[in-house]
Formats: sequence, C-alpha cells, structure tokens
Amino acid sequence: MQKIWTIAWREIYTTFTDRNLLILMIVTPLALATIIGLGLGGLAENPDVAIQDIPLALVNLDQPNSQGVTFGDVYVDIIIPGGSDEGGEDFVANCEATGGADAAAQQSANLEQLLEPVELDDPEEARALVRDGTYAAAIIIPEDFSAHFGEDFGSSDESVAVEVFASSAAPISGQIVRAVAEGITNQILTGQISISATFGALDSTFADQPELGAVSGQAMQSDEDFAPDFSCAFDPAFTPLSIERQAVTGDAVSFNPLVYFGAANAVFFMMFTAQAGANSILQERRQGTIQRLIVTPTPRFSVLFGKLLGTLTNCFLQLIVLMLALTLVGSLIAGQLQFIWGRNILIIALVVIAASLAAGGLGTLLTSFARTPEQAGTIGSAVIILMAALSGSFFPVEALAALQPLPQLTLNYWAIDAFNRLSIGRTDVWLNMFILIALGAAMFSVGLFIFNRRGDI
Amino acid sequence: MPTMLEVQNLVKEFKRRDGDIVKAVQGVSFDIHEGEIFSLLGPNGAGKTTTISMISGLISPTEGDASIGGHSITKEPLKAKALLGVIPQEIALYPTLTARQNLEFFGRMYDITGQELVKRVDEVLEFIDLVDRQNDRVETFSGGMKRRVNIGVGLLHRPQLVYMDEPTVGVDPQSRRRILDTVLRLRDEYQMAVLYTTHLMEESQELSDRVGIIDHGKLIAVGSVGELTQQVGEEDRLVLNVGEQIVGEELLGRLKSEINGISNVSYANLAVDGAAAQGEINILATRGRKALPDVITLLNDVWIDVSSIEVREPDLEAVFLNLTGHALRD
Repeated sequence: MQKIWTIAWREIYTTFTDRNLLILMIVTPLALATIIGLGLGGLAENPDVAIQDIPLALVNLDQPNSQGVTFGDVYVDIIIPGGSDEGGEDFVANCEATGGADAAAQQSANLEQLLEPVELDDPEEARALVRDGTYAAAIIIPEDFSAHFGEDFGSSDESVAVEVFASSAAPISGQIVRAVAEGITNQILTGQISISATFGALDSTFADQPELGAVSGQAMQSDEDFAPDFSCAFDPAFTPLSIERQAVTGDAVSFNPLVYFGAANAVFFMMFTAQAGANSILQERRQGTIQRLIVTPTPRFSVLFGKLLGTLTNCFLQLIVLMLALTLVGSLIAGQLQFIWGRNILIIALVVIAASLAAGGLGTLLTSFARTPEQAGTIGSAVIILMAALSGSFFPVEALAALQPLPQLTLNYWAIDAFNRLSIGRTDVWLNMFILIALGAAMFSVGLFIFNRRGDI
Repeated sequence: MPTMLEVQNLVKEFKRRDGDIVKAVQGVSFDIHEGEIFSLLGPNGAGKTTTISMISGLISPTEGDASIGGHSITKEPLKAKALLGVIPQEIALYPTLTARQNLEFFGRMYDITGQELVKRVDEVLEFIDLVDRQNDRVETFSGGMKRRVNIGVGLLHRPQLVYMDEPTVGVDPQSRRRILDTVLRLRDEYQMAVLYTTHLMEESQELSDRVGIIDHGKLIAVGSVGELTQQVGEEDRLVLNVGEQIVGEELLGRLKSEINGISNVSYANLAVDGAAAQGEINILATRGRKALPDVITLLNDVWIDVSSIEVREPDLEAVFLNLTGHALRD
C-alpha cells in the first residue's frame, strides 16, 4: 500500500507543481464559468436568475371526494388562476382576513412569470406533447387524488402521487416544475392538516362542553346556507410551513448560471485531467519510467493502482478547488457568503468522488485504444468535447429535442445534474452517483483489459 | 565465486499480426558470477534486449527460466527483482523532479525508507558526483548528468547484479569514459556482478571478464576475450574503407573464391540515417598482409576505389565475423 501511495503522491506532486497544467485545470474553467455566468446575468445583484415561461401541460383528472371537495382544483387555481371550474381564483384569494389575497397574488404573479401553463384533458396527449418537446413538463393529477385525503379531512393511509412527467431534454425546467408540484402538494397537505387539526380541536371542545356542541349543531341545522369556507387553509399566508414559497420563488427553483456552467466546465476540464492521467501511462512507457517501475520489486497492479489513485485524487482536488473558487466568486459578487453548491457537504463530496471515478474510467478506456500519447490525446479530446457538447456544457441542449436521449449517455449529464440538484437543496442524487460509479467501473475494467492484453503494463 | 545470474534455455516467441510466430530468443543459456562483468555482444536486433527484458521481469519467457541470487524470475519475481539493478539505455527519469526526488522515489520502490533512504541517496549522489546539483530538476541537466542520475537510480538499493543496457549510446567521449570507469568500479570496489549489453566490440573487449556473442536470438559463443579470439586463430582482419561506393554480394563472393586464404568477407554501410554511404569491407584472411595486393587488384578491376586500409590483429569483431559470416555493425 505504501508503494501505491508513493506512486500516487508523485502523480499529484507532478500535476500540482506544473504551472501550465494548473492553468488548464483550474484557471481556465474558473474563468470560463465566471464569464458565462456574467454573460447570463447570473452574478448580478440577485444571483438567481429566474427561468421564465416554462411550457407546462396540466391535466386535472381529480374527482370530488366524499365531502364533495376536489383538491385537484387547488392545483389548477394556483397554477392557472381562474382555471378551475370551481370558482376560479376564489378558491385561494378570498382570505383577506389573513392577508391571503396579497400572498396569493404574489404567488400567482411569480408562477405566471415562471410558467406558461395549458390545461389539457388527456394525460397521454400531455405526455406525447412533452416527448415531442412542445412542453417541458406535464403535471398529471390522478382521479383519486382528493379521495385519498379521506373523510373528515383526515389523511388516508394510502399514498397518492401527482405525476410530473418531465422531458429529459429540459432537465432544469423539469426540476422547476417538480419543485412547484411538490410545493403545491405540501401546501394542500399543510392546509388539510390545519383543517383536520381545527376539527379535532372543535371535537374536543364539544366533548368537554356538550351544551356548546348541541347549540352549534342546532345552528348548523337551522341555517340551510351553512357552508364553511376552508379555502383559506390552502392559502400561502395561512399555511404555517410556507413550503410553496421556497419552492416557487426562492432558491429551490432558481437557475444559477454560475452553478450550471461552473459544474459543466469543472466536469469538462476534469475529464481532461483524468484522460491526461491515463495518458501518462503511455507517456511513461515512452520515457521508460513505467518499465523502470515494473523492474522494481513492485507488483504491476500496485503500479497501475498507484497511477489510478493519483489521477483520481487529481480529479477530486481539481473539482473541489474549482467549486471553492466558484463559491468565492459568487460570494464576492453577491456581497455575502453564498453556498451555491448547497450545504450538504457529505453528499457533495460523494458526488465529486463518483464523478472523479467516472472520469478516471473514461480516461483509462480512451487511452487503452491508443498506441501513442498523441493518439490518446486526439481520441480523448474528440470524445470529451463531444460528450460535453451533448450534455449541454456549452449550450442548452433542451432546445434540441432531436438529441434526446443522447445527453443521458454522457457522464457530464449525470454529474452536472447531480450538482444542480444539490445546489437547490435536493439530495436525490443516488441514481446519478450509481450511474457515474457503474459507468466508471465498467470503462475502467474494459480499459484495463485492453491495456493488459496489449502488455502495456 | 557464487553464481549471481543463471539463465537456462530462455525462449521468447512473438506472434505477428499475420499470425506468424517470430522467435526473438532461441534457447539462450549463460551464467554470471559475483564480481564479474559479462558482456552480451551482438548487432542491433540480435535479441539482447529481449533476453534482458525477460531476465528483468519486463516480459515473461515463452520457455525457460532465469534466477537471480537463487530466486527464479518466474516463480519469485519480486525477490529476484530486489537483487537486480537496472540501468536502461534511455534516460528513464521524471524530468520535473529533482535528482534527489528521483532517487528517493525509486528508492521507495525498493522498500528503502526513512533515514536509510536519506543515507543511500547521499551516498549515490556522491558516487555520481552530483551533490551540488541534487535539488535541481533533471530536465535542466546536460545529457551526461542525466546519464549519471540514470545510473544512480539503478545502484541505490545496492543490487547484487547490475544490468546496463548499452549505456554509452549517444554519449560524448568524456561521459562515455566516466560510464566505463563506473562499471569497472562497481566490479572492483563493490564486487557487483554486471551484465552489460553492447554492440560495440571495443567496449566489450575493454570491460568484460567474459563475453557472450548473440546473433539472431541465439547465443553462439561464450568465453573470455582471449578464449574467443583463439577461435579465429592466426587470421587477420582487413578493413577497407570504400566511401560511398556500394559493394554487392557478387563481388564479395569473388573476393572469397578468387583469393587464397580468405575465409570470410562482409560489407557494411556505416552511414547514419540520411548521410552519404560509408562503406566498409571486412575480410578475414590467414596472413592478411599477403592477401592485400590481390584484394586491391580485384577491387581496382571493378572500379572500386579504396580510401583506407587497416590490418587488425584478431579481435571480437573478427570472432563475430568468423562465427556469423557478417560484421557486427551490418
């Protein structure tokens, strides 16, 4: 193990004492990401640049529950004010006592700016239109959505899912729509819990004071028009958790170009580092040092793993340094410390490791096809640039539906997607990590097999 | 003297792309004793490097085995490698590391660490006379200085057997002299066994206690310089420089058949890539001086001008010519 570390340490030392390499590894991607971020206005006073007019299909299949309530209409009203058949904006806007009208108006204004929704009847049609790129995403509310909230506003044991069908061509828009859907669902759930709690409190009161319950019951029976309005419970001002505000107007749905292009450039240049690391096997073979290592009493796998460990550490350090530098850039321009990559340091580190492993695997595979360092450089550059272009590192591929699902075949896509998710506070990046590690391991194994077969090491 | 290297019937076959099998080394056997310099002499492509690559564990033999200090290179490769110091022909160093860092790095690969490593590095730096430049990057060194570090790396772990692969190729005369003196010091002062490959007869003759002559993958003769030259007997070697004129097989055949006493004739073009031809006719003849007028006459008849003539006493070149029918530098 000591020899593996010695070989790895030499790789790291050589890399981080080479001024030209450092310019390529750190300075260039940092400058590029900053320039692109500035170009897109991402470093203005408000670093979060809202994406506007996301084309969204909304399908409300929800049917009234046993109480005659259709919660799906709440969805429609929030996303398309006045869009439901149940009185339109009245559903959430008549809560002047709580200041709900202002909050609802603010929320509607934000959503109106953010989304360009169209209500459709057929979920299949909506999915098809998402697939062909007409819409970035579709929200499909199932028939039994309200039914699952059960009687007496109590929660049902069974779960119910609101489907967000997003185009892989528009990952950021998809994320935003999903966040909106989560926010509205939470808003409904919170409101429903509040109503349930209110009724629970009334039940307790009536139980303690039966005479009050009797009077209330008589009053309700004598007034034929008694129809309590619980709509305010779904209002953003009423609901104590205010999850929807985070989801719709805060960090959660914001698109920070510094994060997106920072991640894209960091991953792009890290792949060059990984490829150069693997290519160093061919370079060392040419300069005779790999042969010199093999004739020492050091097992061949130690030589190979030492070099691989060095390369992976270089990639890891490069990404970490770049992310810290981009955080600094973002914070300096915003005038305050900004954790643009999110606050979940552990998962961020895991994603960085997974991305490094994937890049190392790719570098090994690409280099294994080459006979000379020059060949490896040419093949590697071509593949890495192609992958970066396909994954949207240079321009948004969302606009090019014809490219789908090619972006998902690139390592960059999964790494960038993971960093973007983390940046908006999400932690559902396990699939991304699994794919990165699995692809990395597979490519490394194939590369190693080819190297071994050729007797290079 | 204990045997440090024992090579037994080494064979290496390579499969070409067209499926043909090429036998690069065909049953090579020899041994080297402690404190002995053994030269493996042969022209380029004779199989020297392939043989050495098998001994040093770079490639595995198709057949046969070799043991270093009693450890088989196929069964106990790590133990065998620990006793072997390799000094390759090319400069195999990390150019961006300093001389000291290179020595320390490769020292760790031989399991030398801590104060012992510091001590050994200091010793080697002194041995190769680079103490004052130890903290400079190797890429800033002259060719000769790089060669010295290259040698130092191979000696750091105090090997019992040192293998040097044509270490004087492309080296200026001063550095060459220094390298040859180093080889002699390794034997005389440190009792190391040295396996030295070369295609230069003069080096082999000067350094070697014993010489192995290899050609077309076969070891065709092994012995001391004296023993080998005795095989040629009283034959002289005539070396005729014919400049840019090309000599064909027909003329070589006529020289051998028409002039009495000539046993072998060969022609070699010594010109380096791209330069004008530099032809040399090598003739092995009994009483060479007597045959010389007839040789000149015959060459004049076919309009070959001879620019210089040299008559040499029996040497390894003559031995090689005698054994293989062609010159070392063909």
